[in-house]
Amino acid sequence: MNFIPFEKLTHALIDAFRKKGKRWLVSQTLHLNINDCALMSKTLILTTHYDDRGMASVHHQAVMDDRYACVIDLERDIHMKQLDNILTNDSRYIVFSSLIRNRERVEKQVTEIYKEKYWRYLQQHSKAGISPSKSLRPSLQLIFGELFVVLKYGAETLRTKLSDIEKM
Amino acid sequence: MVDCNSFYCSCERLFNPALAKRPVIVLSNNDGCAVSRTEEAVSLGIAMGTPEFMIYEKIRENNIAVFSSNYTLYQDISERVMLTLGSFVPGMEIYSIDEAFLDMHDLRYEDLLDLSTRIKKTVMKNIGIPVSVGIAPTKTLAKMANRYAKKKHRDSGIFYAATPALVDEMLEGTEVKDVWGIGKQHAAFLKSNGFNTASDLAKAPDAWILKHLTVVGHRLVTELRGIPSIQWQFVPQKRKNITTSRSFGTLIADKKIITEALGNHAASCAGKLRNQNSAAQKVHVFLQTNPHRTQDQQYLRSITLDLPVPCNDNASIIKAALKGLDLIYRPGYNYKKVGIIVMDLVPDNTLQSAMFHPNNLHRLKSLMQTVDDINRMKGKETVRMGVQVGEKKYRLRANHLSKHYTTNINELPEINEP
Repeated sequence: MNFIPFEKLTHALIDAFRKKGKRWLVSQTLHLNINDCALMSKTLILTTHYDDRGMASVHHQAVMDDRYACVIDLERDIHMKQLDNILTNDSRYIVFSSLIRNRERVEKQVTEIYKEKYWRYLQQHSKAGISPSKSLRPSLQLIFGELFVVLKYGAETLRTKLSDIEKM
Repeated sequence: MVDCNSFYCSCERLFNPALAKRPVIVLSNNDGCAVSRTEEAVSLGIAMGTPEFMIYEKIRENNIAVFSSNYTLYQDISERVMLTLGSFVPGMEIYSIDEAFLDMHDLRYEDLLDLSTRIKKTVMKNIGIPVSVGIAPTKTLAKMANRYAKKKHRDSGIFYAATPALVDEMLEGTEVKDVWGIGKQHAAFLKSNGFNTASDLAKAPDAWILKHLTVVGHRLVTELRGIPSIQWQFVPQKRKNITTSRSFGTLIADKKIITEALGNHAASCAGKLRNQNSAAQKVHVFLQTNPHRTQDQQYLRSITLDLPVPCNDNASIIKAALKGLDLIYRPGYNYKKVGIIVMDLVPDNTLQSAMFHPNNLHRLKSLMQTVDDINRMKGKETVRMGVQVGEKKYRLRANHLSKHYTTNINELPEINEP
């Protein structure tokens, strides 16, 4: 599966972040189940943008064990220089931004792609008798760079990592 | 869970910016022990609960600002903080004067990290009180996350246990004695059985927990595993009994002064009863000397009296309390404390008068309503019983009391231009 909901980090995007005051980027490894050779040969990095140093710091502390975890300050030349290096085409990395331009479209895509897997997951993890004929509208959450799916059915709400659904 | 940092000290700093970097402590009633300390005071080695006389030198040497408890101010600031917190979430449980659980279950589309940052900033901006935020799937984990934020993430003051890995990190970094709901006895017992961290406790077999910590302990362990098991109390529960007692500022042997003190405590108790629409069936009165003064003769007595009909009016509660005092008071002792407990509370809308009881319940209710209204409008104790009037020689010692900046028009803070 090659479903990547995130936008690639580009210089245009970086400029837009800077203009909006979102000068802090927290980077980390992007873990996805992919089978595209071009992507598999590179290290995928995800960056999350913040306008608040404190929030960036909380995120950074949460992913501290990740090899690529760091806080990038877009207003510091030394950080920008490093970022420019890894954004080149011949770099070993592909960098994504956690920006999702069209949330609804992505959620619809996810619903379509993982439809059957959701049911399998719910059958295993929910006690509620859920009829497969009912349509599910899962919502996505990005928490500390990890995608979570919220499955709401009646009074029951399940939140799980998208990667757990992918494994079903 | 949102918790105000060093709440009492923060309230004092709020109206005295010169204290910003200075170590501050707030003492308990009667200027007894340090019950709130700023980080600066903690770093000077002032432990929670240390009596003032034991740290007198340290206070002088380090220019520590000392305050008596000003509960009127703290309660008012607390209400403002809670009002602000309540505006962020659909449901909130006020846990104590400086802590509240915020129910975020229904905030499906909300970025909780962003929300917690907004909460911190808004409380600081609107009220001026610094808070720490802990977010987790259950109340027990949220309380732990809050503590973890204070201890390990002091710079941000936020810990969001969003992923299982972060919950595990927090459980492993928290000693079993620091788990919410584990008391001293249980902590020692668990430690002796090899449970060192909260993570050890979360992994304990259910049967063992049920056998040794009962169903309450099992509920706690389930919460540590991320399954909500403790009910939310969005509406504060009615109290089952109400106590009002205070230590005297000095030792007192004079019955007249003790009577005045008890009269005021009883009136306060009756007011609290009316506030929660309850009436008491029993009144318990106690009187005691200071057990720490070994040179004094010791005396401790209490008595429980049945009221002829359940009531919540000042006159009946005070009358019963004074009758109790007459029965237990002995002259010749230096008394330290008197108190009253109203018990066996029933809803006040189901009261039935006794055949030979002289008071008309309906008229009494109207009377007390009027008295409460006048006191609310014109000031506390504008209308009171004769026994409450006196010089209040029993008053608590409060040598470092700050002003009632927010509740007394005559004590509003003044800003002097340089």
